[in-house]
Amino acid sequence: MKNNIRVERAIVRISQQQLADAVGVSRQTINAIESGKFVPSTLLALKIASVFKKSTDDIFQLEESDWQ
Amino acid sequence: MKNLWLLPTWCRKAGWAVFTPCAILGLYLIFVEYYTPLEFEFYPALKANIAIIGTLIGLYMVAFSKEKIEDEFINSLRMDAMIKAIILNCVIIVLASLIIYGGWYIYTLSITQYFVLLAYIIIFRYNIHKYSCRNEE
Repeated sequence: MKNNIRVERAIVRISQQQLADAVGVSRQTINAIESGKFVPSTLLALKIASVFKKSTDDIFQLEESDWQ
Repeated sequence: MKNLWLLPTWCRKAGWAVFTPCAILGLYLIFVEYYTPLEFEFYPALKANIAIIGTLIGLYMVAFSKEKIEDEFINSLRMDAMIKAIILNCVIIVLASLIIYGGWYIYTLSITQYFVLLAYIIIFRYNIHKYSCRNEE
């Protein structure tokens, strides 16, 4: 699953730490999600999307490999 | 995650304070005094019990104390570290069984009891460090 959290962060000009604080997780977690090393739970994905005031589909997208 | 049985964050530092002297005492008993618990003598047994129990409690406190923010990713790192530590421990026990014989085999087995926790701590801290250091763009 790919995501554009890094781009969204750049648009609203917030750091990983600020996003982490907003959704109540560690900076490492945001880092791992951004780099595609960790797929967040539905709850966390919804929280991240709500910080950017967008739907989860706008932030997270399925890839071909996710269906295999 | 609220359902994990983790200790408060301050227990990590307290754990190191308990572990360090007890581990040094344990190593001293093994490598200097060559202590073996074959028969009961009060004073050596007391020293050995302090070393064994203190090392175990110290490692437990370090390994299973909460991070400042304990979330789902940190829990996944815990799981990853635990699996790798158990596999590593199994490999070491197999190698020790093949290579080491006699009294030293007993010492090795007694040390591997702690190795699984120690390996877990090292792998977990390394994982946390790895994700802390990535450059933020």
